[in-house]
Amino acid sequence: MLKKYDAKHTESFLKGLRILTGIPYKKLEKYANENNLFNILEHPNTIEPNQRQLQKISLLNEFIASYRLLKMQEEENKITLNASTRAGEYFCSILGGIKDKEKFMAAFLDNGNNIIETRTVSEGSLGEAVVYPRNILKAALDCDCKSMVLAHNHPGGSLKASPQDMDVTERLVSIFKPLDINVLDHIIVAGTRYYSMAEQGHMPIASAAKATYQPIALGKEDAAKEDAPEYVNEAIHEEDGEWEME
Amino acid sequence: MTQERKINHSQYQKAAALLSQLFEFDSDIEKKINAYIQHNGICYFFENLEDFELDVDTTIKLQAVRDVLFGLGLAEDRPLRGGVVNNA
Repeated sequence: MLKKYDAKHTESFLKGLRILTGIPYKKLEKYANENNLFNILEHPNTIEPNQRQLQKISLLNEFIASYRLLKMQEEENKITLNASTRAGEYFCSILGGIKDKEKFMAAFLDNGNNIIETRTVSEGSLGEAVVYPRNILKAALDCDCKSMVLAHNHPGGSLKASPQDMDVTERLVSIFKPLDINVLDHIIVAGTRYYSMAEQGHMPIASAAKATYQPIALGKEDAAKEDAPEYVNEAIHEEDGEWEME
Repeated sequence: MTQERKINHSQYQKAAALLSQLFEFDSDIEKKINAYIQHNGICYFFENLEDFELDVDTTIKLQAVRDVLFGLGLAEDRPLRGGVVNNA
């Protein structure tokens, strides 16, 4: 997570966090000496904050996600999703704050994995959304994309892929493969964290039998099973997790 | 099916609103921050906080955010940040 994890950065981080949250510096420092410093943001309860401090940390997390997205846009004036971590951060920024409904999105990419456009392809209720493959196909052909990254949020906070999540991915991979459009990843966002099927090696391979266009209902996220099927993603480099470019 | 813009100015509004919630800024300060980051970019804004016309209290609070961003490796360091300039 950190680019530079040294005393200077640690001190800066702790100082800022103290002012923002009111948590005493010594308490933060003690925690940082014994633990991974950034657990404070990801698991704030570990430092036993009061309600107000917890709320501040939550807002800070939301702001950091928003800042990351804007920074990416400003640095390149285009967003390149060339790795799972990049895609994860990008979709966390967009979907992380949505807690009242499930939203399914697709980022359509060019040859260099730059985003041509990102679309919301389905919005549903708290734990369910219906995905229409035909609509995604039309959007992909309209923008002449070469690949895409799928993403949706789990408002309930589960980071596990449900069988329906795996099914929708397999169907879309199978629909797009004959068109030479690669579905590179499917990101599941829960708050400020994400799960990447590609990163976990769970991307399905195309199957002609699965290339059907019926609407797909994503199930309740709590239907997720512990043991997701082991798929192989042929588009992922083994070593660095970066996606191949056409 | 709705389309998201690549550069979405509502993202700037969202960032300004989150800062406002974080520090309980009044709406005038939020509007000011929103205008600054829309026109200058959020990276430039945080790296040059002291150059913008914000009151001292607001600047100090935003410096704390910058400290966290710097700690996370998301913002550039500034040579005089938090230091004392000795003109003697």
